[in-house]
Amino acid sequence: MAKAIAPMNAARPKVLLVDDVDANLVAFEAQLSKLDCELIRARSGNEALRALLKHSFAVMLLDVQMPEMDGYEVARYARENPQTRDVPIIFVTAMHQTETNALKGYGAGAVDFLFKPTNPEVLLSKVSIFLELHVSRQKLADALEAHKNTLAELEAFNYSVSHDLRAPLRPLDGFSQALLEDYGDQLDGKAKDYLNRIRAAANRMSQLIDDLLQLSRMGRAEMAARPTDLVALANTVVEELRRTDGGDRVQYRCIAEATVVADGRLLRIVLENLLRNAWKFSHKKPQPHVELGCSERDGQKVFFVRDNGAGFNPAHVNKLFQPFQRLHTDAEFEGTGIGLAIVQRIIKRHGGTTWAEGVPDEGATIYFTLP
Amino acid sequence: MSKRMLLVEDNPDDVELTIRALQKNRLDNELVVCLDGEDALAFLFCEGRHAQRDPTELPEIVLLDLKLPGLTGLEVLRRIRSDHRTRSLPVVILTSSSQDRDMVESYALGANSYVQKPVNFSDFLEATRQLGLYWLELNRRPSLKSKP
Ligand SMILES: Nc1ncnc2c1ncn2[C@@H]1O[C@H](COP(=O)(O)OP(=O)(O)OP(=O)(O)O)[C@@H](O)[C@H]1O
Ligand SMILES: [Mg+2]
Repeated sequence: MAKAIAPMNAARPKVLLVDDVDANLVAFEAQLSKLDCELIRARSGNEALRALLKHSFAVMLLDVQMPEMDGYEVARYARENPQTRDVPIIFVTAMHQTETNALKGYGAGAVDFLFKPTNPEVLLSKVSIFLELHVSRQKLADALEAHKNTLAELEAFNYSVSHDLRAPLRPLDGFSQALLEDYGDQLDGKAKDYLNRIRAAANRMSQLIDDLLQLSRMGRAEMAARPTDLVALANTVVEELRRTDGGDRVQYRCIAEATVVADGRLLRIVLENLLRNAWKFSHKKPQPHVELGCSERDGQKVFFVRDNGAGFNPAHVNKLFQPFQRLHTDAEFEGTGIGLAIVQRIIKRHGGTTWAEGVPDEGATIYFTLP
Repeated sequence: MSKRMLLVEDNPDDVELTIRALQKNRLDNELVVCLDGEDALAFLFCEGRHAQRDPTELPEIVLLDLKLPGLTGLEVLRRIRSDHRTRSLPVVILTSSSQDRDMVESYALGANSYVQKPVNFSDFLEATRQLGLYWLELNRRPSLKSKP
């Protein structure tokens, strides 16, 4: 990738010099000879417009007083064409400073003025600023292009994971089950157990693939942040959790309301994962409690989901948010370990942070901020 | 004539598992298997090795995999929908892919349903049972022969 970009960067930026008087062009060239750029001459407005279409320029020095087409007209034509609209212009004029109002119509940022006779140092510094701007823009464009390529590769990778890695799992499960069904009477308990283990492993692998795809989708999903009531969103999740096995035993408490600026769909996924964890790890307790709360830290609102369940060993707290990392066995509490990784990815995309606290057998608190 | 099904699937494991799932559900309709898209189109349009077939006898339903060697499933679907003889033929996409893009494109090209082949065979059994029930029992289509 880096190799492909190098030649583009290596091309020297170009500067267009427009003046009907040859002596002025020669003077510009002499003054700008120190700069690392390619100088291209145009002796009339028409020639300038042709050159603009042919090359990409970092900046043009444009004489105002020219016969036939004057500098303003050249500028107007250049601005009308999307291809040449963004080329910055430095007008070179003999006019008095007080008359420069006439030039203001050209918009900010990309227009500058020089007054004849030009001061070599001023000319040099103005042109070099535009050269730098051009180079950094080009770098940004290259980086964006590289980023787009990476995304496209990732997309292709996801597609093949979703498709090709899953396909071999079907015969693993299907033919194991076929053996159990058709030849079950010839198999002893151990043989059947082995076949069931193969099936379980194939199904688990399938779950892992789904989880991984979901995680990577979260990092790229389109986001539309707007004011959203976090508490109301949490309540819809809680209602669902209450309907799960033993879920109605959990005492739930929450703040009155909290409006945050976030993508509602993604925020719901965050709350779903945090509250489902809280329910999962606490519902075996005699008196399970779950709380959605809000505190303040360094003047910033910090939201948290707290439960009085199984907790975890704080020594491993930094593993919590990594994909497929679990601090409890599947036999105790089932899961694949993707939930908090998804939570972290979504909160990060909103510009917030996540962290956790836990005490074994006493409970856990997961914190997050949303700027 | 019993209602025929056409399965377009290149993976022999999936062919075997689909046959098994259909049998388990007592869907003993004749099943024609084509291993790629070209052969499936040749079958539907009675060309090549299928030239002797009666063109009015279309299958009741086509089970179409998306990822096929050569012509892709989506291309096959496009050809089916752009020919007047097969325009209204029910096509069910049966695929490994859970990508939204595949689903959106399939429906845009006129697929009748989109089923992601589950890894778990019991789930697959249930999916084929419902497909069979719907497309072979409930669904009614005009017969080509009865056309004016
Ligand atoms: N409320 C909690 N109390 C105690 N431990 C927790 C709590 N929330 C998360 N953990 C620990 O962090 C691990 C990772 O959590 P995460 O939500 O990512 O995965 P999971 O719940 O195990 O599986 P999944 O969410 O994919 O179904 C859990 O396995 C558990 O060990
Ligand atoms: Mg979880």
